[in-house]
Amino acid sequence: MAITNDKIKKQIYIGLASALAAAAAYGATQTIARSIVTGTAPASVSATWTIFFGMIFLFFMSLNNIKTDMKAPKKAFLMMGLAGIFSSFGVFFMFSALSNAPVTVASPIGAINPLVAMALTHIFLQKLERVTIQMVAGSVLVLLGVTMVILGRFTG
Amino acid sequence: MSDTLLGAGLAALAATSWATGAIFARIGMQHMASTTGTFFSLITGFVLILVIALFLDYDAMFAVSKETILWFILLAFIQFPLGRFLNFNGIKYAGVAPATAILGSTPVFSAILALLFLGEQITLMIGLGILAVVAGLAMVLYRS
Repeated sequence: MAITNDKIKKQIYIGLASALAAAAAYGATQTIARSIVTGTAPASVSATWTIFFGMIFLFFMSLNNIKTDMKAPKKAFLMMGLAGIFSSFGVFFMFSALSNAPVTVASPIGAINPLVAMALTHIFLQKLERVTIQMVAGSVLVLLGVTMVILGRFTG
Repeated sequence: MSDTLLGAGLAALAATSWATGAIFARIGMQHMASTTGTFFSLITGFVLILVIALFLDYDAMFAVSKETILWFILLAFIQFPLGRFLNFNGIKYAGVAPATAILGSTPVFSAILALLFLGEQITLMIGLGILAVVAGLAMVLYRS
């Protein structure tokens, strides 16, 4: 039992560290894109080429597992397909939002996505995970901080 | 409807789309590795974005210089094998709620890098914002 608990704890730590590294990676992407790619190609073209090369990288990374994973239920592929479509729609809607509203309006509203995710998790994933009041409070604090950083950067 | 109101609505749609994508990823990755899951999510995302790009910017799609392609490869490497794969790994192992809360801090990492490499100035508002994000992340991490 102790071993199982240790294993679960280790997986959670790996998950949290992964999410933190992902945030840093996305932050780096935004900085690089802003300083180099902006003005070179339209957003849809940049997104298409970037996803294309990303697919090639991920194909090689998944080579070890793909044979086993092909035996997964069809529902799992459908879910991952929908995850990809919704993630891409998210990027497309955010680019469209930024072309209509100032970054000081669009970015903080876009940053509410963790709170929406928590609400959806509470409604649809109760069997898989629990949303605590501390998680919601922490996310509200993150949202507040992110809004301050965005306002500080783009309003001088 | 004013442009700002339309933009705000679109940003809310973006937030809802990302959150919904995270829920689908959590369910899908119960049965497969994060690498395979990320790969399949990219296939559908690619088809969708390709159709939009061909419809909106057909000529620009094939008028990209070799130098720009190299930058796209670098961006792709940071965005997908690092960004999305690690994001999905976080969702798989830590759960949707903590992973998306942590990912919400992305603009702060972007600001820190801009301060370090693009010469942007740190103001009181930015400093306080970063502190609030660190405190919020500590709450999420501690309770996870």
